[in-house]
Amino acid sequence: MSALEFLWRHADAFLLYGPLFGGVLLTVAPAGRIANALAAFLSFAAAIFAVALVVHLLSGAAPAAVDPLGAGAVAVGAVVASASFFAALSTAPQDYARRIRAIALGLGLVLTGAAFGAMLERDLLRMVLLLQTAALAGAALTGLAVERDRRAALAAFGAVIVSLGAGALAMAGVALLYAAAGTLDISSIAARIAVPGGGPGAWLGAALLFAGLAGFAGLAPLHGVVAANAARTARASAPLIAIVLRLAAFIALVRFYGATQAFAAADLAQAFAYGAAALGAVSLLVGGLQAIGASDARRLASHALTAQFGCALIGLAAGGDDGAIAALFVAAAGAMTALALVVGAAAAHGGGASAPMATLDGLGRSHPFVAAAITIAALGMTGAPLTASFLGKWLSIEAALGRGWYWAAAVIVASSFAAVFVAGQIVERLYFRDRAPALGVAPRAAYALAPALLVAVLATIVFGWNATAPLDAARMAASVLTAPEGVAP
Amino acid sequence: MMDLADLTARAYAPFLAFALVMGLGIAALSRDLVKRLLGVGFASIGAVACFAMLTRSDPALAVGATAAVLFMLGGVALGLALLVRVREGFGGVDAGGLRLAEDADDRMERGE
Repeated sequence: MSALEFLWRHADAFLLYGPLFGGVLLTVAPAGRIANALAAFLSFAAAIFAVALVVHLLSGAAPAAVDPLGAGAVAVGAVVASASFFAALSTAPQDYARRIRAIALGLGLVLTGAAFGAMLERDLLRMVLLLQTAALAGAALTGLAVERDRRAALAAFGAVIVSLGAGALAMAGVALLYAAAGTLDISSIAARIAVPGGGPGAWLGAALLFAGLAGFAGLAPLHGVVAANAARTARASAPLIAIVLRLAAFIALVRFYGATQAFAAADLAQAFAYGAAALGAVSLLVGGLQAIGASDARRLASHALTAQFGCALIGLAAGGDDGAIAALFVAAAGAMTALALVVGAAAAHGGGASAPMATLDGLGRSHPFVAAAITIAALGMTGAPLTASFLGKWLSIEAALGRGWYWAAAVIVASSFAAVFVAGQIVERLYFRDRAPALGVAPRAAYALAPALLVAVLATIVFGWNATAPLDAARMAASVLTAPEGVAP
Repeated sequence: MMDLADLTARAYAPFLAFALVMGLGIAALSRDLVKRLLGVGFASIGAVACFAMLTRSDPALAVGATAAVLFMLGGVALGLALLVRVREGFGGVDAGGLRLAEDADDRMERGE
C-alpha cells in the first residue's frame, strides 16, 4: 500500500485527530512561541489534505473513508480554519496575554478537529458528542477574552447554555432513535425502523435530534446567542466560532435531514420537509432583518450566515437534486462571505475586543484593499450576479418553485432585498463616512490577514464566474443525501 | 418484585418529557443566569439518563454514555466558572441588569 493510499484510507482519522490532538497538546502543555506556528501548520495541512481529498473523489478514484459530503464540507471548513489560524499569527499576540495564548490556540484546534469530525461522522452519537466538544471549546475560547472585555464572559455563558440545551435535545433524540431502530448509523437508521412511521418515539426522536442540531447550527431562534458569541470572542477566534463551528452543525443537520427523507412513512418525511422549510424561512427572514440593525460587524456577519443557512435549508427541503446542490452551494458561499466580513472587521479595529460597525467608517480611504474585500463580501451576501451566492440562491429559488412553494421563493427574494439594504449600509460606511475621532486611527492592516481576505474574495468571485468545479463537488456531495445507503428497496 | 432498572426503563418517556420540558422551560423563561444553568443541567441529566437506560442492552454504547456524562459535567463546570466571572465583572447575574450594563459598554465603545 502506497503512502498516499494509506492517507486516503484513513482520511477521516487524520482530519479529526490531527487538529484535535494538536489542540489538546497545546492546551495542556502550552508551547510558548511555537504554538502559533504549530496551529497554523496543522490547520494548513488539514486544508491542503481536505482539498486534495475532494479532487481525489472528483477524479472518480476509489471511495475513501470519507464520503463526498464530508470531504466537501471539511474542505470549506479547513480553508476557513487555516486562513483564521494564519490571521491569528498577527492578531493573537494582541488578543491574548502571553500566558493564555497557546491555550487559546489549543482550544481553537480542538474546536476545529471536533468540527471536522462532526462533518465527517455517520454515527449519530459521535456526531452529537463531537459537536458538543466543538461548542464547549468555542465557549471556553470566548471566555478567555474576558481579560480584555467583561462582555465576553456573558457571551461565553450564553454559548454554554446553548451547547447544553442543544446537546440535551440531541442526546434525547439519539436515545429515542436507538430505541426505535437499534442502530446509530445514520445511513441505515431509516431502513431499520421496522414499522412505517418508525414506531413509538422514532418521530419524536428525529424531531428532537433535528432541533438539537439546529440549535448547534445557530438557526432561529438561537441565532442571537450565537451572534453574541461571535461578536464578543477575540478576533483570532472569531472565524472559528462564527463559521467553522456553525458549518459543522449545519452539515450534520443536512446529513440527518437526508436520513429522515428515507423514512418508510411518506407523511413523516413530508412533515420533516415542511418543518425544515419553515425553520429555513424563519431563519432567513430573522437573520436578514437583524443584519440590518446590527451594530457590530461580526454580529452582522453571523446574522448574514444565519440567513444563508435558512436559504440553504429551504433549497434542501424543496428536494430534488437541485435543492440539495443549492443547499450545499449556498452554505459554502455564505461561509466565504462571512469570512471576509469577520476578517475585514478584524483589520478595521486593532485593539478592541468587538468590532462596532462604526470601525468600518472611512476604511475605503485608509485601507482600500480591505474595503474592497468587504464590499465584495457584502455583494456576495445579497446574491448579486457574478458572485458565488447568486448561483446558490438561484438554484434554491428554482427548487422551491419546482415544488410549488411560491412562498419560499418569495421569502428568498425578500431576504435578498434586505441584504441589499445591509450591503448599501456597509458601502456607505466604507466610502462615504469619516472615522469617528473617538475610535482612533485604524491600525495598519497586517499581512497575515491577507490570505483570509484573498481566499474569501477569490472564492466569491471566481466561483460566481465559473462554478463548474464547485458545482461538481456539490453534486457529488448531494448524491450522498439523495441516495442514502442501506435503505430497503 | 419488579426490577428497579426495568421500572425506570419503562418510565423513561414521562421522565424524559419532564426533564426536557422543565429544564429547558426554566432555562428559557428565567431571568436569573443561575437558574438558566440549573435548567439546562437538569435537561442534560434527563437526556443522558434516558440514553443510558435505552442503550443498556449494548455495552459498546456505555463508553458513549460515559462520555456524554463527562461533557455534561464539563459544560456545567464551565458555565459555573463563567458565572463567577460574570458576577465579578458586572456585580450580578440578573439578565435584565446585564443587558443594560452591556448596552452601556456598547455605547461607550462607540464613543457615544
